[in-house]
Amino acid sequence: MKLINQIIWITALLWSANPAVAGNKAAWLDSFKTANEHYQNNNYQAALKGYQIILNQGYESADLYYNLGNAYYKQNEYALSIWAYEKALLLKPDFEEAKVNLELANRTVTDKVQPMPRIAWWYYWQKIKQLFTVKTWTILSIIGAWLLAAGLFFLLNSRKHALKRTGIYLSFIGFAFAVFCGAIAMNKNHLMHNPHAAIVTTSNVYVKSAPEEESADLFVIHSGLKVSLEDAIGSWQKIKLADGKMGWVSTDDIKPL
Amino acid sequence: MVRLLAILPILLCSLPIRAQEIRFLVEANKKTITLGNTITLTYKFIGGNATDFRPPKLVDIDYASYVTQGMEVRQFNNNVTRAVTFSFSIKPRKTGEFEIPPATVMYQGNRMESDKITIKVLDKSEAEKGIYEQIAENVFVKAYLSKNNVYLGEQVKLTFKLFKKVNMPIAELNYKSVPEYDGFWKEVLQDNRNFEMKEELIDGERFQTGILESVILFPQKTGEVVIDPYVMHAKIPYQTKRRGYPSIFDDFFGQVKYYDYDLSAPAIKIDVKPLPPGKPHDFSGLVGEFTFNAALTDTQVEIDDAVTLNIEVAGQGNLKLIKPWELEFPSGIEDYPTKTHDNISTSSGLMSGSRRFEYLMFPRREGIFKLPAIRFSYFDVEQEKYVSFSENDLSFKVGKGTNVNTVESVGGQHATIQNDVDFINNDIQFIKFNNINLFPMGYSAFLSAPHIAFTLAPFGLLFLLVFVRKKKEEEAKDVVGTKMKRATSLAKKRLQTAGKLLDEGNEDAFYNEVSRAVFGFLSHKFAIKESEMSKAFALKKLQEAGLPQELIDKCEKLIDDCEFARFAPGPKGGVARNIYQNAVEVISNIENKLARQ
Repeated sequence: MKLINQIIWITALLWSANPAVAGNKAAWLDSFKTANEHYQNNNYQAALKGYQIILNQGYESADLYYNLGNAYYKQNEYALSIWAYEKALLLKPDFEEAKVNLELANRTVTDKVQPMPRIAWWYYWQKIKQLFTVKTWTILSIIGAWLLAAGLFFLLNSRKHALKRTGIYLSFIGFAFAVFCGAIAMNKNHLMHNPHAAIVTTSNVYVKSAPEEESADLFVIHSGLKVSLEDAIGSWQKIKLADGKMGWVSTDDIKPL
Repeated sequence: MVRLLAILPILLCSLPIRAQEIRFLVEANKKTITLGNTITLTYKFIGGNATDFRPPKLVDIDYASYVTQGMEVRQFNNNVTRAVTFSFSIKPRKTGEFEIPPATVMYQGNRMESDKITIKVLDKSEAEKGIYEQIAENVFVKAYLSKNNVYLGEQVKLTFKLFKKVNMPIAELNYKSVPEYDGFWKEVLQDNRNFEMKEELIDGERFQTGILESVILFPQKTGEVVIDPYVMHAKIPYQTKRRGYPSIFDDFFGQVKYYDYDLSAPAIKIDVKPLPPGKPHDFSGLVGEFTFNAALTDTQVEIDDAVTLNIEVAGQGNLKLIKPWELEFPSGIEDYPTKTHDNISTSSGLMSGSRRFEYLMFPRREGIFKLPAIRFSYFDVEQEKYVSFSENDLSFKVGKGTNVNTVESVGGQHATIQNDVDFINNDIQFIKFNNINLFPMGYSAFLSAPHIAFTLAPFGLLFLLVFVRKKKEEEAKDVVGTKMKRATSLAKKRLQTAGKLLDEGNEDAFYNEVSRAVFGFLSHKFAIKESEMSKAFALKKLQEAGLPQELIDKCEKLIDDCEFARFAPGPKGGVARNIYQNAVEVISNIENKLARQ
């Protein structure tokens, strides 16, 4: 049994800890700390630049986005700070400081959009999804798989009738748990890697009725507003507001999450 | 004339006809007219009797009357000149210069042509233009704009002033249209209600002047904003003259007519620039130049004593735009509605002065009270940048006071007034700097290697566990195999027992045990039934198993020694130990050899 565990661990380590990546990561972690020092010395410009360089190098974390958001906020770039806080909360839904700061940043947004009411279970689903990160949901689904295996073990290996029955129940529960948590993890993972929302970054944007410059202006939105993304054609993106208003904007005017 | 005409026939008959120079002339009563008026043309034929008058063929000119024929006789120095006259009126249809072609008459059988005449027809306005130019020089409205390129919200002063030459007669002066100032927030300095005129000397000429309207404007939209002109309507009297153009300075005789004249300053354009980007979050909307001051009247008071916070903004700009700060006082302070004190003046022509807000507070608890940060920012037009002020460190200390604080008692227990923990300032939470981490972008725990490995692991484990158990069961079913496996351990146990017996000196039991160990081992190892067990059979089995002869001989000797010692009387001493060692050696050797095969 020890051998199997070792094999798993070694595979896992080999997979995730590419030595080249690991070496760079330590270096970038250092520059992350340097940027934080800049921030602590009220040198927000330098801190901002530092965070951006790390992002450009292909590294991210909820902390990095959160600090980036703070630096933007201190530079009065509220729309971009909203974007950064939203990114941080995507990676870490229970990030309390990011929630507080996002609310403060959202006070600077001009547009007030009344969200369209949804059916009740949709809110429950969102609440449940927001409970844990992708990682936690994945671990939970792994636990489910173990329960299923344990249940099957009792079912196959035990001679006593009572134990066999317990095994059946356990495997059912384990299976359901693994599938449920796995589905949430998959859904969240999908949303994270395929942006479905964006923040308006231009101070005011005329939303068009069609993906053409000549088309009619439907309404105006302002920087900092969160919009959901629908279709995209070339440099045009169809957006939808929380109240259901839809239209086309240039991709230059928004920053996808 | 009438009388003259009446006696003409008599004269014609009585006077002798004398040879005369013959002429055919044309005269007009005026040569320049305005459009719509008529000219009377008179053709005179002197020196004979002309017949068959044919008026000229006219283009763009209408005949305004019929041709009337007459006779004119002039007499001087006994010379009598007789002329036949033909007169009629014409009315030009358009402006311009017209040459009237000659008219013709028959005289003594010949057709004679008259002279030509040129007339000038002017437009009515063209004719009056002269006078309007004259008027414009003598009475006019001028607009004064303090600045025509401003920032959004920056104040500009606009004044409309009326100028009139002292000797300029004006019968009436009315306001026709006043600008609306669309796109501006205005502050009126002076309007036409208190209009009065003063005398002023401009370039050596005496003028009467008066301010019609003076306003301070605060642009509310960007781009080129146009202010409508200020228009006044004047009636200027004049007297008509018989000839030439009328003049306004003529004496008043006869009929007085009026010119209607609109005085207006041209439309004013103001270029309004938007405020540059980078607006502070707490931007007040003020544009100009200001100073800011926030102070407390006291910093050390007793409970229930009043403390006043004064916030004052002073400077030049739209001070009336400032609204009181909405301050969130710490709990334990009772605050009263804000009072606003204005000291705003426009006497300098621009809005300047100060506005002060007075916040009256009554602390109801002792302790140190820190007031929230008070921030103010405006756009400075001189420096062309945003200027921010902030007062963060206002605090005062409240002592216990002489009056004993009444502790509210609820249900006999001391009740503390509980307050929520409120934010004093809205600032963001600090950055994270402990336990920070980074991940490669796009990394996800879902479907990562550990995820897959850990998900598959329990099933692998399950498979192994089930497999091992199944194998055990198989082995349990194989009795012979089990026995063979157990042979060695049984033999070892017996030998151990034998060793103990030897130590105790129980030799009979010792030999018995050794021989049982050897036979037991052999019977289990080679699956020999107990009934078939004999020395010869066992040795045969050993040979069949292909063991070396040496080992078989050793085994035979061991069995023989055991048998011999068992049944031979008397003490055997060292022999027993020798046999024990041989037994261990033989059993382990056979075991090893068999295991190798």
